[in-house]
Amino acid sequence: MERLIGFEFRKLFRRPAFYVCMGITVLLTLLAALTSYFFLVFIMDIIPDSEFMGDALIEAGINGRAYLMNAVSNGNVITILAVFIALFICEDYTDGAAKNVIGRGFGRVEWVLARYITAFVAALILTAVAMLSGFAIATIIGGPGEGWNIGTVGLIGLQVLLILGYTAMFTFFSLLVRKAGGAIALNLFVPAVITAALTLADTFIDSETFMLQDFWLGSIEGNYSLMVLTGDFEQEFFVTAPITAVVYLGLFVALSCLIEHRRDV
Amino acid sequence: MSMILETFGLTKRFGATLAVDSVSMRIEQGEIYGFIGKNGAGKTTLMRTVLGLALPSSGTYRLFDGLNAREAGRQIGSLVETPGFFKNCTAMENLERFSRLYGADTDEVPGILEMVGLGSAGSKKVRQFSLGMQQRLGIGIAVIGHPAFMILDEPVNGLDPAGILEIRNLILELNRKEGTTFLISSHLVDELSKIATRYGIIRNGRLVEEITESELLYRCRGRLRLVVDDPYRASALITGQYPAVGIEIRHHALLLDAGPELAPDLNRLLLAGNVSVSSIGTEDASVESYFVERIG
Repeated sequence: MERLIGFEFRKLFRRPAFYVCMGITVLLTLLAALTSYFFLVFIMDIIPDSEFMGDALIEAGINGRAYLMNAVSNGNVITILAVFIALFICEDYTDGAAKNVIGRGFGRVEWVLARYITAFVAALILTAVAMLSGFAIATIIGGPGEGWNIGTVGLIGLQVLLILGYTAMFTFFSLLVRKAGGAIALNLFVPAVITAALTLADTFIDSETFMLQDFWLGSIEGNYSLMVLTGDFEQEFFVTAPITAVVYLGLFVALSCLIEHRRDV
Repeated sequence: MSMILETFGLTKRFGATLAVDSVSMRIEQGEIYGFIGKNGAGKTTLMRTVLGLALPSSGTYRLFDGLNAREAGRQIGSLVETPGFFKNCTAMENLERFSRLYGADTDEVPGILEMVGLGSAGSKKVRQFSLGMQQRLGIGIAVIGHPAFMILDEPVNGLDPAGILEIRNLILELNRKEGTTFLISSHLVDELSKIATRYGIIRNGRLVEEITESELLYRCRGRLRLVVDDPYRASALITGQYPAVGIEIRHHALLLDAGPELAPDLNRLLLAGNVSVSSIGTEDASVESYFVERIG
């Protein structure tokens, strides 16, 4: 297992695409911050009284804390991960390296777990890059922001859990189809299809207390963004959201092990 | 002599297609087992199954006298179908990565590159490699860690004549110096016949014949060929005079397990027995034609 993890980490850190993805993450964060900033400047130009610029920037969410809180929910990290995980996992099959691993007596389940561990580390690094670059860029533009407390750490932790849940799902789809193109398509479109399907299902169920969407990663991420924006956090959300993320994570890892265990390479 | 591979009724189905049909074979330590069959006969599928890449539909196999699959796998080097490696890495990086994974010494990597004829291409990205160079690298990855058993599927695919010779010598050297056992499939049966010590012929997923090197040589020796007007009468005359000589009748031709030195006597015998002989000659059964007849 140790050798497999070392093999996967070497593959990850020597892969130029990983660093390109990091660069794109920083670039997209910068573009988002600048777009928001210049949009605000444009608005302030229209409104003659521009002395509230600083407050307005904070109100508009261009500050270090806000960018740290929204690093995941702005969607860039998830999209980049959807592509990167597909490329990373499917490379073993398209280049034929999988034969050299399984053919030398390494267990399928062990290898799945090694790849999950590496994918999680990759996701954590990309998330950290998104958070830190967002924080730095937004702090330069609008200051560090207000409202720093222990809850901030909790919100960061929740984002990380959501990202790991997504990563587990993307890894599962990639292992399932084994072709980078198909895996990218699945990773990008399946979440949208699930969201649409659950929305439709909820309209049929028509319950005020129970909604299927509450147990879907995409909806949790959407609710999280809304709560960060309004500052109105529901206590219950902080219980259901992490549990749901962890359940998704465990479910996809288990499903992957189950499928790979009895599948030809 | 310990048994490196034994299969017991190994079967692999893909839906309704029976790719490997109840194959039972044995490969002993130190053998170079030539695996021969047409495209789609089941050679690669059997190799993939033994390597654990494909799961058998039924039947079992034993490696290294019953060593568990994981430990056995560590002692097997393989090149099945296309070589597997990271195309965006150099040959050197590929060998280093797999050496670390297999727990082998990375210091041996330059030596392996030299051994497979890629000494000057170690720092070149694999995606720039020709088919033959990729094949060489695939063999290089297979030999990492000095495996006791190597499974090579069409190892000389895409190689030029010099490359074929190099790989042949490499296989023979590993077999003689390190005692490495080989299971090799190849379409180039004449090439295979230069190294194999035993052969397995597979047709439509079934192992139809296993033959040793000496048996093959015996069966491929030259035979006397006589074209006569009455082959059955001729056969009776020859059997009466030479009961030990094997005879095969093919239309108007008789194929005799005898050398050309017997030709004048046979001619006289047949003429005396009122059998007209229109030609006498020898028929050399090449190894290739022997196998081609059997693989169907």
